[in-house]
Amino acid sequence: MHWLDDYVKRLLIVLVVGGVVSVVAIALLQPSSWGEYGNYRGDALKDEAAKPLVYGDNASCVECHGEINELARGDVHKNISCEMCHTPVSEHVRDGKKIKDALVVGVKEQNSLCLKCHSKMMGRGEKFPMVDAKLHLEELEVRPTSSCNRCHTVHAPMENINYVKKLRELREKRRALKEERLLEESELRKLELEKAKDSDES
Amino acid sequence: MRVNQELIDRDRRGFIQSVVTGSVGGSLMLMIPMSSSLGKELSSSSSEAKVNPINLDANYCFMVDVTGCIGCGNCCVADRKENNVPEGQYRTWVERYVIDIYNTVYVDAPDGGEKGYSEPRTDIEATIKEAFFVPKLCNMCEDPSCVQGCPISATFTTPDGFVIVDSDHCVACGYCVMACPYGVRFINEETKVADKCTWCYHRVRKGKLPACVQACPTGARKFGDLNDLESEVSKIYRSAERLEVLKPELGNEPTLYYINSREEVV
Ligand code: HEC
Ligand code: HEC
Ligand code: HEC
Ligand code: HEC
Repeated sequence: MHWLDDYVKRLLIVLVVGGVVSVVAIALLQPSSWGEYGNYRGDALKDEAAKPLVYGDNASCVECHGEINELARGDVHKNISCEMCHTPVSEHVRDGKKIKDALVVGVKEQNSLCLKCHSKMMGRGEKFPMVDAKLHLEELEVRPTSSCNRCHTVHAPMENINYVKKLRELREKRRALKEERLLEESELRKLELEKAKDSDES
Repeated sequence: MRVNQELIDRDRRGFIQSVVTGSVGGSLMLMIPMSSSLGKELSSSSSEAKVNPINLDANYCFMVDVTGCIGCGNCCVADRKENNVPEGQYRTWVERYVIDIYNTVYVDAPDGGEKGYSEPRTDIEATIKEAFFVPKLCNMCEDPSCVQGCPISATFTTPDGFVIVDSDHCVACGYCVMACPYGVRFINEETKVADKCTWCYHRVRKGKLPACVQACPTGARKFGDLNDLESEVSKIYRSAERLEVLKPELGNEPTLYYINSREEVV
């Protein structure tokens, strides 16, 4: 038996042709960036990284709304995203210009906006400031339809209230001081009177 | 996340290459008179955030503080817009856990928690003992079963440790959807291929926080680099705070950690 029988030749041909075909197929069909970073298409990673941003962050509003940003930074809402109450920056600004109005929640819907985060309910940590809207407004003796914005400004909810509180404290302090002074004066007068009496007697 | 010298070298080479072509391109621009439309294109692309090179020194992780979540749903709203997720499908969602006095645990997530939880559960007869919210998203496993399950390498772990989907390559066989023990994968109804939370890889590469982290009002969602000793996550990681992962027994090694979590959470 000769080692290069027909059937061996045929097998060799099949192997060689198969090998060449698969090498060509890989060269032609495999994406060119395959294996750039690992066993996957490298361009997929680049495509994913290049996807456009929809949201920015709070810094994206500073440039044009600096005063509101400053107001917000100084108060309890400093960590809340502007874009969640308004509009993602990419829908409002492009190339440094306003392209579309940002959403501004009207007065009527504002309470539900606030209560989405602040309504009292089970599951919210005790540390988080919550109110039962009906009770809150009743306690403050305002109409149950009052907008939260009437007392709490949206961007700095405690600013007005802290201001009023401070004013009240100052007023009380002044009143206390006045009373003290009055008391002192009346005591002084009493002493003087007593002195006068003493000198009269002697 | 392992640092691979070969990868660093390759990345450096890519960087040098882009510098060279960039500077060559720049000097060519000076000599060739530019049409005005070309000039506009350049300015618009420069105003968009730049993609940073892959940061192989970072060890990114995500932390969720269960006691911090107030169930407002802002994260889900932001995620849908940022990633174009079709209605009715979720890359991230917030579950509500309710426990009654007999220690029965009820879990629900109407609309994925996207609309917030302004209505309490009314279908529970026993007195409710406590309730809490648990945000869910991709666990970004170090040993992901979805990647192992993919027959054509259309999903993979990036060199910086994110598991993402190659949507051009995916054939939507759905094996990864079945392989994921956390249920974060789905077949996107619009693109018709597998989709998942990427921790907003495109935002991270541009130096921004994931959209849901950015949207969270209470800081219940935290994202950062454990190797950056100044970052909040690394401070928590090194503190006495107890960190937990979901389904640790499966050995997927998630890099999503839960703080103040509860044994009821699965
Ligand atoms: C809690 C939700 C909330 C957040 C957070 C928030 N806003 Fe507002 N913003 C509102 C509401 C509600 C109004 C409408 C106020 C009104 O009716 O007086 C408004 C109004 C505005 C206006 C329009 C003012 C006008 O009178 O036309 C601008 C500009 C604005 N906000 C910018 C910002 C910026 C910048 C930030 C981030 C620093 C921010 N907002 C954060 C809810 C919010
Ligand atoms: C490139 C500048 C620019 C940036 C950046 C910008 N805005 Fe504005 N925005 C404007 C201009 C201009 C107006 C119109 C102001 C006016 O009419 O007084 C406006 C108006 C608004 C209004 C009122 C409603 C309206 O559209 O007239 C809101 C709310 C608002 N911006 C929110 C935001 C928020 C939130 C951000 C950050 C994500 C932001 N803006 C970033 C330029 C900007
Ligand atoms: C996205 C959720 C969110 C929305 C919407 C929201 N807030 Fe807040 N609010 C917060 C957070 C977070 C804090 C800070 C809590 C803390 O300091 O722990 C806060 C703090 C406050 C506080 C201070 C409470 C205190 O005692 O410290 C007031 C008052 C307040 N918000 C009112 C409002 C009003 C009014 C609105 C509607 C215009 C509103 N909030 C909308 C999340 C929200
Ligand atoms: C009539 C004015 C007024 C209106 C309207 C009002 N508030 Fe208040 N709110 C206050 C005052 C004053 C305080 C401070 C109470 C205190 O410190 O004792 C307060 C406190 C709060 C607090 C902090 C509670 C805490 O426990 O720390 C929250 C949250 C709050 N308000 C939310 C709201 C929301 C939401 C609305 C709209 C439904 C609203 N408020 C409407 C006056 C008002």
